Amino acid sequence: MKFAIRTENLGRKFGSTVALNGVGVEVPEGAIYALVGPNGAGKTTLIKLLMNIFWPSEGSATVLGQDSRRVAAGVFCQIGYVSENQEAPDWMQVGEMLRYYRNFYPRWDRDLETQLVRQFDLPLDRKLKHLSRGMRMKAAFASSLAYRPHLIVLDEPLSGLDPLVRDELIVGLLDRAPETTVFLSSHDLAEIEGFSSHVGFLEKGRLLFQEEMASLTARFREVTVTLNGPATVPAGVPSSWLQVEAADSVLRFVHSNYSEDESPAELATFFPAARDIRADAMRLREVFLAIAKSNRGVGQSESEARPSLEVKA
Amino acid sequence: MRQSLAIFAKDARRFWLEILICVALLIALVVVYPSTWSVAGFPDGVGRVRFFGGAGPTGILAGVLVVLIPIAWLVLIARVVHCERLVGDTQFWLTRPYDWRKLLGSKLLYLAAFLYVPFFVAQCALLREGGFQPFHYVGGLLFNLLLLTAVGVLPLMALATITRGFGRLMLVLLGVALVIVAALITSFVMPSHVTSSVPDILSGDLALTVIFCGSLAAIILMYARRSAKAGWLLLIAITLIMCSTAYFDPDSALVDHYYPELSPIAAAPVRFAYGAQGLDQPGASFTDDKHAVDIAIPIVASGVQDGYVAIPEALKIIMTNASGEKWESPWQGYMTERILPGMHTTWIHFRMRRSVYEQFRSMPVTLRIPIATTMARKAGESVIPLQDADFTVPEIGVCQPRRWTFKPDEMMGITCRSAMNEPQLTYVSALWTQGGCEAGAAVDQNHVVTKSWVGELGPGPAELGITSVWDADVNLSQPKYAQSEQERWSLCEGSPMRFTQYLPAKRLREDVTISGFRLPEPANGTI
Repeated sequence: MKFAIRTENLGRKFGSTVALNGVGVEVPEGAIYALVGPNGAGKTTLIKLLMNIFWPSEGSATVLGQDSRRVAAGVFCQIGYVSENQEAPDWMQVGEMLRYYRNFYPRWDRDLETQLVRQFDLPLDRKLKHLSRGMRMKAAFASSLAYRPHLIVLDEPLSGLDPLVRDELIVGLLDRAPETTVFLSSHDLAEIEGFSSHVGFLEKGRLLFQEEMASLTARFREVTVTLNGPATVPAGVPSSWLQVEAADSVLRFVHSNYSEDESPAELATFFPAARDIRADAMRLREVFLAIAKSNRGVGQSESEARPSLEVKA
Repeated sequence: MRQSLAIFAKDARRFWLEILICVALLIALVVVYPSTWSVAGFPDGVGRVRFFGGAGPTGILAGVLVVLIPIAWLVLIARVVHCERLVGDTQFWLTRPYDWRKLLGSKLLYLAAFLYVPFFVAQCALLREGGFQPFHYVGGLLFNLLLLTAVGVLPLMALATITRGFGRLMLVLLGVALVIVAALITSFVMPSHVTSSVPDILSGDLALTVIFCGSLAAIILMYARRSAKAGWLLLIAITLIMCSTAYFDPDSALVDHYYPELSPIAAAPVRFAYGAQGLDQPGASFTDDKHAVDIAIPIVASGVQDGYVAIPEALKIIMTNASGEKWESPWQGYMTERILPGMHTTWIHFRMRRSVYEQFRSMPVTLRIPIATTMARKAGESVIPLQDADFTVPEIGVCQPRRWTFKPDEMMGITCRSAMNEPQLTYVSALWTQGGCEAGAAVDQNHVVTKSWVGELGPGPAELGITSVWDADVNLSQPKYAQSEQERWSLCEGSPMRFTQYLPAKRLREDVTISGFRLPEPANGTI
């Protein structure tokens, strides 16, 4: 498998603060990879390391086959980068900005530019500083997509935007998705759930796991076991069961390694007196909450032992 | 190239107002500055700006322009560098395919187009206005641009690269200025008898090289790596190196080499000897610094051949007594003195620590005084009648008479304009005529020759200046006070003026030895 982005044991310190620690991200070519995590998890730092804005304190990263420390003009011709925190040439009009950027990209597609301007309804004669936040973000998208980049890197691109603009941007992005790799960060799971093919979860500078979205949602199930008598948390619960709770005659937990073929039989064996066993699909947000809570609720060594928290390619 | 031109065009569009202001100020200077040439003593060059009242409103305006132009350039440089600032991690251009070489190239192109070219054109225009043919001074014009680059453009650009914006840059400039002032103040506080002050041998060029190379390195480092920490360290190091020269003059270590000792068998081009006779006796006096004593010793200089002038530049004192105790001063600058053929009494002044003075005053000492001297030889001479208008003097430039402020119809000397620099060292003599000038410089009247020096020995191709035309006053003082109208002396139109140029010929070091010398008692108090 070829990777558009690959990091190995990537770390970054700011003074004595560890922003990233031993991160190993693998973004297959053609994927829409969502890097999620709470604010302050290190998502922006990771992206800035990939974009050669920061240099790693340890480990290494490759972007489109190039060492991140050598990512420069030649590689940036193939990368479209949009960040909510990035400054813009505010003094320029939208049209002026697009004309200016044309000079930097040999593969700039004027037809696509026109199409994006129309799609995003961009006012070409307005200065960027006079645009709303959503419009500015749309202008940034247009200027980062018009040269058909091989890799699109988005740092919290949809944060704080109204739903309409968010949908417009996602549609614009998905239109380009077949010909590119997308790597985006977000702290809002709901906004990436619908279109991401891969997901990685970063917390406190560590990558807790990464996985294909389909595989992740397939193996996580909220299991509800209804017993005839009062339920108690049984001894010897497998480590793949997270957040095991008992109330009245009901036992609930999150199964992090559910298999349609094997798990029903396994559960039936574990709960022979069960009146009913249900395994419900979970939304991504619920999966992450389960992982995050589980991770916070146990010691580090214990959490590392859990299969649900292992990094999976 | 396309990328560089795109960035250049973008910057030009964005900073059109800054560009316009810079160009307008230069145009104003070209228009206003020549009007100050008719006013004697108006300053020239960026280093000697004064608001000379006599120059009137245009003089004040010219002085203001000479100050405003560098400020406008500072804004121009800072704005264009900060447009793609190098400090920070959120700039729009960081993730665009900017090649740092092309980015730097575009900024240099911008400075070339909107700073250097207008400045060059303005300098040419001023030269033409001053009566000079710019084509003859291309070397000087380019050298002036090089100096401007070394001490102005590159350091400012380097500071702009390590700052986030104009406000921060101004704070850093303030900080650098404070450090330099502190270094100067502390060097002045240091007793002068332990510091050296000798003519510039290498330190000037060294300082320029350090600033030029250091600033250039910082700029390249910042554009190539955006390593603000490294950029800061480099610029702090440059500042500290420059400040250290306030305490240690590297030239003092070079004097012995630069002024070779005169061979004992060679004929001395100038002879120095102890000259105490009559009223010319050694003296001592306290200084404001209570730990130091100033000593003055008369020296007779002779033996200068016709066509030469001796210019003592530095000296040091080596003092020994019968007990074998020895004291040696650092090299000290000589007071400006130019010794022509004939016998002249000159004075050596040096400063010594009071404790050393006390140590040596009780018994006779032997003084050995090496004097570093430059010999200059006559390179040309012209005799030109004084004219009541602009007149050209070879090797100097264009001169015009200076007049008394309170008697504007009488001439007192001349003011000369030279191109790119002070003129070559020139000895000027003029004939004053007793009585008025009604009959011109009549031969049957009494005449007195007055003399003056103008210019400097071996000036470079140019001296750093906002203006390309330099003024030099030739002060030919009236021979003596006139008791009556008949006795007054006049500098008349048509009076011959002799201009003798000198070029550096030889450097040498010659010792004066004084045996059995007793340090004099201080004239301004007892110890």
